[in-house]
Amino acid sequence: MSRQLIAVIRATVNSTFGLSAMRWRYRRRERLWEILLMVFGIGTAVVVFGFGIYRFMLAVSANGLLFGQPELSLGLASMAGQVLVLFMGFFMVVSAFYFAEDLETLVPLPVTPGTIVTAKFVSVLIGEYLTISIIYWPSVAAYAQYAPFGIGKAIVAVLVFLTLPVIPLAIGAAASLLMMRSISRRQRDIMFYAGSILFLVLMVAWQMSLSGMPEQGDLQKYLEELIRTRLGLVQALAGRFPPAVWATGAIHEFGTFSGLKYLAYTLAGAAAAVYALGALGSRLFMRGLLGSREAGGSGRKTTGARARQGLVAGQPLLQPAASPLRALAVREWRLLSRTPIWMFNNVLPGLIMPVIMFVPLMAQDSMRQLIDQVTSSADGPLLAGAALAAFITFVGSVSGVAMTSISREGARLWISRLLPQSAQVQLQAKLLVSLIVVAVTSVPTLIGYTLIFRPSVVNLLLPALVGLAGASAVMTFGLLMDSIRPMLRWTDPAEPVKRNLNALIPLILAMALIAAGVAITALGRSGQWAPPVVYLLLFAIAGGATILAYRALISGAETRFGNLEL
Amino acid sequence: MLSIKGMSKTYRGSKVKAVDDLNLEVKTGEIFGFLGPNGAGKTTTIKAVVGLLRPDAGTITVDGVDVWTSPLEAKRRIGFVPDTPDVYDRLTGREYLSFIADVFEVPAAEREQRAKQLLTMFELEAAIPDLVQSFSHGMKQKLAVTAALMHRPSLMILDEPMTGLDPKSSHLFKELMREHCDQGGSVFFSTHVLDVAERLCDRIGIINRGRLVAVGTMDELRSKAAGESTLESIFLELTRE
Repeated sequence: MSRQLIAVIRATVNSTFGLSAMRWRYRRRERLWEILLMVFGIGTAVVVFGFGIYRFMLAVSANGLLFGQPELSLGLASMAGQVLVLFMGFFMVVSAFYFAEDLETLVPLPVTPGTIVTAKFVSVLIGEYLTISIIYWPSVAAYAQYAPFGIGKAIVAVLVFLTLPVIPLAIGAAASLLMMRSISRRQRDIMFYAGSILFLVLMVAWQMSLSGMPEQGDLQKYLEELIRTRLGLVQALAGRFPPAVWATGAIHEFGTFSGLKYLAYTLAGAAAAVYALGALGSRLFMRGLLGSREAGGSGRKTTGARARQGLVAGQPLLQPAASPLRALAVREWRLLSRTPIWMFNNVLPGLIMPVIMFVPLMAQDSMRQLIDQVTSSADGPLLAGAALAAFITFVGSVSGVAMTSISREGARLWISRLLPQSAQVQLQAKLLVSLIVVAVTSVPTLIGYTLIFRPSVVNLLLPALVGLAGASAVMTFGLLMDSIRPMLRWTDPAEPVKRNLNALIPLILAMALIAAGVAITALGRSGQWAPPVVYLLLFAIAGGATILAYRALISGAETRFGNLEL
Repeated sequence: MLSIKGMSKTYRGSKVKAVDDLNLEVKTGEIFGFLGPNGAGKTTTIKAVVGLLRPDAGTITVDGVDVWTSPLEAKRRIGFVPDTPDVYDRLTGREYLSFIADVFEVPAAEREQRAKQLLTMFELEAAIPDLVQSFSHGMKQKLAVTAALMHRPSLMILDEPMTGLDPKSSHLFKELMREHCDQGGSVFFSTHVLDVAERLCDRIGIINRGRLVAVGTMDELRSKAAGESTLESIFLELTRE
């Protein structure tokens, strides 16, 4: 690796993750509480999600063991992690390659385009390690409970971890290089949205294909086939993405020639992917970057011409007057909706998650029978309603729309700070947009729920209101967090939504609300309370949390806003 | 118009005062140039005046309104243009100006006329339906100036306003500053272009290492730096380490 490449990688990683800024603050003992808060937030998220995944993977491994294949958890984790990196990483890579503001510093440097592409790739890769580790390591731990696991396997597991996101991310990066080659600045946004829709379609297709596994009658034969084959279950699960099979084989078959072969495939595949990406980057990166900027210029002429026509026709220069609150909310929505990476991270999860959740429920006969059993039982509607409320709350908590609202303003926060509108009004506008986004993105959930469970109006509306109240509490709390410590210094618009701890902390509140909901629903079941009583209690808790969070948000808003130093 | 009394500011984690006991008055109808070497405290002062940075000590008033105790009232009186015209890239110029007019509550009858006047002067009319990200640096600067003047502020505060402006726009902008003061407003601006400061400003303040080392008209400054005649030589003399 050349010294130039190392220097560019160091600078890019440093700037992306703010390492120097963190060191600087640590040395001055300045805002150490932020670092502690970050460790606490990440730690809590890792423990909550990691433990959930560990428990799930224990069940997967136990079931795999029934067929002599406990490595099923490894296969599932490898595939899920790599698919996640493939799709999410694609957007991150496009954002880092073509939208980052530091490109104007990097491009004039006497380094090859391949060096810039590789450095940017590494900075995205590091972020993906953080994501993938939450899925991978609990799965390895679960696997180790059901299969021999020594130091050798542990070393291979580390090697596999290091290479796991490389191939899918390189595929995403190569796709972005090819797509950006002849695309204009205006088309870049369209491409982002097209990619998002494609992502949705692929998610549905993936769910459908998983749902298309044999039903009970044929299951016996199907499973016998799988059991006879080595890594059969993993092959069946991840056969269409061989790197996941290699990763699993490298660990599970450690100490055999086959294991060595899979490890070699994994390492060589990752090395080849990085090399190929560097080569492709050398050829295509600059052409794509420059081409897109030139194409953007011609677009301006066209709109300029339209403007002149408009002026001739005597159209007003400005838009009709609006109230300050409305103007602030419209600005918030326009900036959110016109920045694809923000839409992808903040709005799309609300649309994707119901699809992931409901398609298998709708597609499989066995699941439909189970649902019929649930809904026909005495407390089935209550359980389904409580699950709906929890799901809407959870979806609201993963949408970072409120939690990153101030961070997204970044260096442009000076504009908001100069407006003669109180911090309260500005925060209300941000909250309003966030709540509208949550309400709108709840619609697919409500449609899916209605189609599957066919609830009464009361059993639809009451849990929906509870869920929206829960989501409101989480959003308001998230906005409060973001107003306390926004992430304002970023060079790539993906950073404030993807690498922002403020988007994670409110998950803790969501989990607490959901846990309270589970407890109250269990009490209601055992006490045979009428469902509306249970919903009323749940609504009181979620509504109370919203009011508390809102009061905290508004009460110190002016001071917090005034203390933000730019 | 603008009064700064005993203002001090030390950044967190730093032991050096960025601004140290600054006292300054900008009178009505006056163009006041604020000069100083890099890191002298100019931008810190400007940020504190417009409400972007809270000073540790001292008071700042605009038209008698305290910037930190009545911030909204003070902001209505200020039009600010930062050193880098970092405005929302993904809004069109039209949307940005409409937004500014809305939040500054510019009367409906006046906003269109005001926009027309400023946009015509800066030749931006045809460009404003475009996204700001397609604007050149100079166009963004002119858009920022237009936005800052939409609500007819009494005090214009400008941080390095000439950066990125072409000669014609720069000339227009200087005329605009003078016109603004002739109509009863005031201008407080920082610059490194000493020629501009010398020709344009009624009074000049020079800050060095956070302290105001000189303030006055050109004649008054000449008397402080004996033997020096140009602003450049006065500046070098007063800021010599």
